[in-house]
Amino acid sequence: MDNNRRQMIDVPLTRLIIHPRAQPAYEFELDLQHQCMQQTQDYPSDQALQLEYPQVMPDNSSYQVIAGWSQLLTARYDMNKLLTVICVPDIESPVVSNTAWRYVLSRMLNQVHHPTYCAQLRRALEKSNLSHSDIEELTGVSAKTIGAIARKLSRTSLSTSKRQLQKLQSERIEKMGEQL
Amino acid sequence: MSGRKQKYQGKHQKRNQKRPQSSPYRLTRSTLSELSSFLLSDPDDLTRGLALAKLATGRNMRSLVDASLDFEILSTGVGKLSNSWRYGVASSPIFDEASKLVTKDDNYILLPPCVAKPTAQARSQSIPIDILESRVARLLAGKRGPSGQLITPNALQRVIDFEFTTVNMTRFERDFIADRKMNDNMQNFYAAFSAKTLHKHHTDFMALFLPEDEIEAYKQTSIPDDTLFGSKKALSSHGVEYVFSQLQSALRNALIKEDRIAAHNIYTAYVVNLLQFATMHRPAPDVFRTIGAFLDDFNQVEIVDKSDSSARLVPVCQRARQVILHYIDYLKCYQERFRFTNTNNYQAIDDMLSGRSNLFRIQTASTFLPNFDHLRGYLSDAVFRSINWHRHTMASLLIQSDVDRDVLAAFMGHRQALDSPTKSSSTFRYQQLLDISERVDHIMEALALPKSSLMSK
Repeated sequence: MDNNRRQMIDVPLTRLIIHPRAQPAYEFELDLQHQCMQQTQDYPSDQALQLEYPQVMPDNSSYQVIAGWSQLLTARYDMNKLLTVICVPDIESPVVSNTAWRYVLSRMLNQVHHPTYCAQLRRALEKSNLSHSDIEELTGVSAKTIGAIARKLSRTSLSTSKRQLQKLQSERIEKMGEQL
Repeated sequence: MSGRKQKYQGKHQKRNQKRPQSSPYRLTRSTLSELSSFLLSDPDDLTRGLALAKLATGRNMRSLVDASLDFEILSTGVGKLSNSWRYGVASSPIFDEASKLVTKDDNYILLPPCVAKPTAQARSQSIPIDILESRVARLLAGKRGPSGQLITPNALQRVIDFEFTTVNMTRFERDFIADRKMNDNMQNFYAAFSAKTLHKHHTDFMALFLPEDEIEAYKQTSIPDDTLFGSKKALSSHGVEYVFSQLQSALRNALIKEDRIAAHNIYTAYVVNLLQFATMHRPAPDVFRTIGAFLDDFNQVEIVDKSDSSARLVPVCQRARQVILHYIDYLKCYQERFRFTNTNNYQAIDDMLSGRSNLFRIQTASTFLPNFDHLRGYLSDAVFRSINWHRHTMASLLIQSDVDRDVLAAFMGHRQALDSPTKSSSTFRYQQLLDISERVDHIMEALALPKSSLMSK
């Protein structure tokens, strides 16, 4: 694909539609069960930078999404909102299907280790420089401590989260030991 | 006849059919006693026996001797006489497998030997009905009641009308025993009712004027507790569970195959059938019409399932309300799936949820059909779309739990000629419909049906 022919444009959500060849992959992802409690969040309006840009192909008056649809899964939609997308030139239909599935698989292959998910989520929340209130706003979960937010999000009990922390610590020591 | 008189003729006739016990035209117990002694005085006299049969059953001569009505004499001398009521039948692969409340074809009343014998004799001799009528009239000529009224063959037939309430007989049982017109009360078409209770009330009625020894053999003729007469479309509890279990397993299969269209249609069929069962809605393509038909936060529904005159506002019981609320949530989630994939389907569900189209619509590979008609494949079985079993079953189960039959008639949208439940002078209250709705809730609770979603128990 010629990268020079790609361009970033702003399109209203009403003009986005999943490419028919990408729909099986998109619907598969819709049906995935998530480790973390799903929260539909409005993308902050003052967010200057989108974390991911949908890949689209122009089709008459609409744009067909072939990958990068994570925001379409989680946003609480204001259909008049503009979204920045990467417009790519015509791609052959079999390639569209492959691209869509590669996108889903790449997201799944990067999943966090299940038995220590809660502990790692907690570490990520702690290490981020987001304030407690920012974390609550981002996740849509309110709790007194970061640990409690992580437990609620991952639907993990207090005792399990403690075991996960110990397990994570010992595995990290082991992994570092192997590297030495 | 003046126009006004003609206009009210039907209502006057209906009013005249009401025969309160306070009426001066009622025959007193002593008159009845004298009359039965007179009629029993010659057991071999056919005319006296037939007059007694009229008194004991409230039937006209045709209903007693018509050869098209089955009649047999049991070994005890008790007669078994059927009536002219015919119940609708239905058939489909699933409906045929589902167990019913009424398991036998025959509906009958039992006649004590003193009545059965002359009835059998008259039937075997094939004497014309008008001759039999005139013989009875001649027999009674000159006999007068307590207020001086003549005791005619019609007066004998009317005794049951004056007395049925004294023995706790319902007017529906009275109509069955006396073989009155089935469509005098539309509930007659729907109800399955206890044969044992019917015969007990009939015995109690005859005991008002027949000597004890005459009904002794009759009393000993046993009828099993679980024998029911009436509607052949009323399912038993197991039958209802069977029908819904078919939908449940069909949905499971659809989900295993990840066939979302089939899953939507099966789930829709489940919700429609369950709501029909809870509200006694007739099967109809535009069943429950739009979401706007549900009022007061889904606590009520306005039903129009036949013609405009079938319109009625009835309560939705708590379990049914949970089911419809769950379905609304499901539709919202299902709609979201189409937001970026199929704008037509997204719009179709938007129409359902906003009341611009029917709420219950069948989905095909390309679109949503306008209503609940044209169920395909597995769902094409008539039990899910056209057999009126919901109304027959719930009405029968409610009757078995002793609900007020007049309130039930109002709930079902049956209007009697003189009934005006909403008139200011009426004693009818909406609370009475709520009481029925509560009974419906209990009945549904007793059934092993999913509580809200088809996949949850």
